[in-house]
Amino acid sequence: MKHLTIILILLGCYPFSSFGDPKIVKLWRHDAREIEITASFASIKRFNESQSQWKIVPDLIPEASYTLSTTAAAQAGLLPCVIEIDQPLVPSFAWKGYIRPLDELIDEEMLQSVNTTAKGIYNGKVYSIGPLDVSLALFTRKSLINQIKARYPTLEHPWSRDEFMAILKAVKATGEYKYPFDIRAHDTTEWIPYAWAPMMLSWGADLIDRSNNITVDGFMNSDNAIKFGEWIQYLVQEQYIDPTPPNDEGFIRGTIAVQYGGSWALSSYYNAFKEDLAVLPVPDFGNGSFVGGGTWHWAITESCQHPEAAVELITFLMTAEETLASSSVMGIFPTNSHTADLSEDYGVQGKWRILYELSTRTARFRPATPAYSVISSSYIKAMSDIVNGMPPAIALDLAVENINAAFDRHQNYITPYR
Amino acid sequence: MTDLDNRKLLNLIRYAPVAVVFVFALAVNIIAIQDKRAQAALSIENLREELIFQQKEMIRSEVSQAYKQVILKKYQLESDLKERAKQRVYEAYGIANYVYARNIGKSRAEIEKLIRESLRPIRFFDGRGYYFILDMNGNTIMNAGNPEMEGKINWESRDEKGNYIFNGMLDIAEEHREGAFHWLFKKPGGPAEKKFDKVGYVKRFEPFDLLIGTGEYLSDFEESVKEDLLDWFSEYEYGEGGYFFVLDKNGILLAHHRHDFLGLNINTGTPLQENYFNNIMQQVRNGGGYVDYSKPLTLSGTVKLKQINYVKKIKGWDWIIGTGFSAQSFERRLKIKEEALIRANQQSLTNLIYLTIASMLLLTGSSLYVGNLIARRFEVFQKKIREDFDELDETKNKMEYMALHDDLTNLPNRVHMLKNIQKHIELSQTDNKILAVMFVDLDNFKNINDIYGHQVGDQLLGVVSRKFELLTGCSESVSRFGGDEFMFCYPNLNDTEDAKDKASLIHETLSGPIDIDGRTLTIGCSIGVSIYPDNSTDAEGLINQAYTVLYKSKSQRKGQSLFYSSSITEQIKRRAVIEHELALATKDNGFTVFYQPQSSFHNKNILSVEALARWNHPALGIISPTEFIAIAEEAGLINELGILIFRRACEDIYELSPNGKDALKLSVNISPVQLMDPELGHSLLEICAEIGIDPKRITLEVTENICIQDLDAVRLLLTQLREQGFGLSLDDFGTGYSSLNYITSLPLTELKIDRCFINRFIGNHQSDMLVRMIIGTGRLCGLVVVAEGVETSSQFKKLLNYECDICQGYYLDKPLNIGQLSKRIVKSKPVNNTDTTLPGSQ
Repeated sequence: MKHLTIILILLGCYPFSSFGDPKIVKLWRHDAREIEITASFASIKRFNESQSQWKIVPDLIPEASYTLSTTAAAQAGLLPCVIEIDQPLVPSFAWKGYIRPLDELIDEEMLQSVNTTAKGIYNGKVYSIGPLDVSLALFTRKSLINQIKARYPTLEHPWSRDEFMAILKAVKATGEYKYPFDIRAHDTTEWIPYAWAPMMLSWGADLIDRSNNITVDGFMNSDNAIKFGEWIQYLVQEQYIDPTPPNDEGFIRGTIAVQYGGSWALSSYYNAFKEDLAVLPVPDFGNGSFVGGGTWHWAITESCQHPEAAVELITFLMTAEETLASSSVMGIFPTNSHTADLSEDYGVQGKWRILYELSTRTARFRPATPAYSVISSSYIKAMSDIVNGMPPAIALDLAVENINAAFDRHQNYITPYR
Repeated sequence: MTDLDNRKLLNLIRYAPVAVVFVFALAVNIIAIQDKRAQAALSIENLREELIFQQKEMIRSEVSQAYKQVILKKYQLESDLKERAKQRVYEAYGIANYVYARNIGKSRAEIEKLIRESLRPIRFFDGRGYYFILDMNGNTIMNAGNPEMEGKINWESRDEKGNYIFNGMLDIAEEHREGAFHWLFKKPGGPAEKKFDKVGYVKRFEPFDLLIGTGEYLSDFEESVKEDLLDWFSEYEYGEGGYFFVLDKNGILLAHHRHDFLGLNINTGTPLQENYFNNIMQQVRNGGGYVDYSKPLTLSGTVKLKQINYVKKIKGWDWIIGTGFSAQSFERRLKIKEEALIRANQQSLTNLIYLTIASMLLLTGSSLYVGNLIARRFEVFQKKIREDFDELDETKNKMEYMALHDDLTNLPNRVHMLKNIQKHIELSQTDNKILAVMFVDLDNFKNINDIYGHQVGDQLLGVVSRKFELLTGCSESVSRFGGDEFMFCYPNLNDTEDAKDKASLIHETLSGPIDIDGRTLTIGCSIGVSIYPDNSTDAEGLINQAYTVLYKSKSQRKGQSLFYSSSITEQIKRRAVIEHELALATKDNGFTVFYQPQSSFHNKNILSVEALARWNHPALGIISPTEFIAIAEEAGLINELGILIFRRACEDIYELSPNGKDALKLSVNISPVQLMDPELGHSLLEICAEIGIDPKRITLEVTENICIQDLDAVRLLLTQLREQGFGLSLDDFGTGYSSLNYITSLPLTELKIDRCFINRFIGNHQSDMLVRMIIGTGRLCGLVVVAEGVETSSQFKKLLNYECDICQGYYLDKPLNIGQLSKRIVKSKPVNNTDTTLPGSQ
């Protein structure tokens, strides 16, 4: 309701144009924390004030239903000119022809200046670009690490699986935490593939064969994937994690010792623990330390009547000034390395530089295939079932079966979408 | 005009098929294209309706299937529960049996305890289910859910309906060893005053005669099933993005797929928008139906997605299940399909148009080619026909010209002249003028041909024709009738004098010499003239009259003009009658023969007689030999007549004077026409032989009029006759062209001086000299000279003086019939045997 009020105010600020007034260009983005929305709308307002030809009118969609809503709108041909899109959905939207390539529209130098997580690529073409990024990390308290006498992990030497399990055991042994670790198992949304799949990758299993982006069988349900599932079940069974945490405030309230979460929660964490907050790389479970990459990008829809306006807007939002202004929100950092260097928090000496480093050095994309939505939903269900006790092999086989059916249905997504 | 029409026709042949083919092909193709477009539009509309119908039918069918499953589950609740309870009891029985078997050596109390400990912790039915054990007396051995009941006898426990609970279970175990059981029981944690339906299953454990059982509240089981169904609905998907949602009777969302959303803020447990739910309720009250629903896609609500759902109520549970599809998404997909179909149709249409154009070009081109081919062929035919027609026309004109003109002289011919005369007769009638038709015949033209040949004759005809043409003025004409005959037509004449002037001009134009290839020829003509209207009023009549009068003129005297008169007609009629009668007389031997004696000048003894035919016709009277012999010659009767007279004469004279030294000789006239008959000698000889008369007694008299042209043939015949003994006399000597020539070229035995010389030689020096010269020539040539027509004494004496041999004439004897001759001969027989031998005779 609060956000709706903001929208209405914005709409009030931008009355519908009359003859000769700037042309209306609509934009959708996901609803986020108020501070993010305010910053985002402020940028848009600055763009509108910076020129007189276009008038960007933003609209919000709750994050939980953002994909459903935009997908439904795309199918119905109701998409606005500019949309915010979650990076892994880019191939699907591109394959279906909902969004258009930006290579010929956006300045090449600008495209080259941002890191890889800031670009949504499909079939070698850039379809989306994001000025800002977030990163996953382990959040805990430095005091706790000291208390259990654990090693402070670095990017170069993250905790190993054994180290990590020993730490969880040690934390649990303190008796202060019923569930010492939280991986947000209740969030059966995009969180699971975004956050859990990199952990599974660290276990030596991937969602798909990245060499062809088609083969799932033997990857998602590989032995390592099953071991990862069994590890999740072990965490549940041994009550290292709560399979159904009531909310995301366990870490802040002190009921959770180690939080696996996103940088978007950094401000609340920092507010709770100040300098005791420890932002750590995720453990290396045997095959490297990885976090999920790719966050919200901007894309121009195929139905856009004024792509030049959209290009102008995106170019504006990608400027260092606007990026820095938006990245003043804690936990969100520029995707442009030069801009990041200019940032106080994310510069080389910045307090939260590790988040930027985690993103640029350990982030792994979700599969760049139009089948990603079914991969995502199938994987979410599989993980959810595993958490609820279903044998991992069965749950993952079911997921693979479901995904293969989708590949078969769409002829491996090679032919154009019809 | 004809050329113009032909050009139009050619253009029509060339272009009309092209135009027809083009227009026809165009029309057919336009119709085909229109039809295809209409079919395409119809197929798109049909496709749209069909797809919408299919989509709506699909969601209705899905709801119906789900509805059946839910209803089936609902009505199988108790039986399912009994079955599950049975399975659980069987599991417990197995455990108990296993414990019993493994501890067979132990005491019953120990084994029972082990069994109780084994079964007590077991929970099922989502934790609500547990086991109980009774002995057959109703003592509760174990009750995992209600331990406080253990050790108590519940034999008399009844439910609200008065049923003995445990007693009933024991009865089942007693009677059936196992079975399901239904009772009412309070629910733990539930209101104390309310008891709930409970379904259980019991089985007798024989080793210790115990009863193992379990039970489940039906309502709890029902809730459990409902939860399972809601989970199923949350996971169930069909087709491409087909999901279910479940509402309760208050519009609270009970379940929906994670990929579906009924609204931005509508999640499980939240109510649906009131107006939408009211629409749903309206449909479910009617047993189910379609509901349109617009859900906002953004927080501002400015963008909404129209959803078409099918909803149906699950009776008893107050659930509303539904599924649907996005109308706009469907429309968009439909639009894409439509566009694809339209593109395909357009492509098909384009192909059809290309095909149409190609076929039209092909048809038009081929039609043009064929049209041109036909037109060119037509032109060739036309040219050929025109040429043929021209040739035919030319031939026709030529034939017409030939039909109307003379080929040799290029003058109009008889037919043309006939028309011309007829035409001018009518004009003359109108103008009250006379018209003269002049039939011109060139005199002696035959001689020109005979002497100079036909080529010269033809050339002469040409020259004459040109001269004649010069004589014709306007409306006057000359034509050639054939041979040497020409005809003039002079209209617009005032009188006969004008006609005579014209005739004179014709004569005059031929008066001068004509030069042909260096030869100077002279030619005259005879003219027969007939006058319109005096002589006839029709062309044929005028021509016939002119012809008649021409030949009348020629027969009289050549070189004159003779106008037609009625007397000529009479003459012609007489001639025709004589010709007719002549034929009859020849057949009937109607002639008589007179014999005029030929006597010696010396002693007047009769030496010979000349047979003279006489014809005394019963009606016409005596007809002159000159007349009938001429007619006999012209009518072709002279041969027969000549033979007839010859035979008669031979018979008479032989009878009168048999052969012998002094036998009377006979002279018989032979017509020049007879000399043309090569069989003449044979016939004469045959008659002589038949009668017996010696041919040497017979002298055949021929005139100088024998054909000069056939002189060789005549000479041959005469030579044969002479060889056969006949004497040959040249009659009328001196009147012809070649008298002297005949003396030298023919085997003559006698000359007969023509009577005209005899008539005039007394007192005419020239004739006298001529007579003497003839007599002298005959003597010199050894020929007997006969003078005929001697009628006076002076003539006789003078001829005697001239030593002429034989005298014939009235001075001595007139022609005598045979009787008279017989008497005359008797009378004239010489007394003193005077020699009567003719000089020169053999």
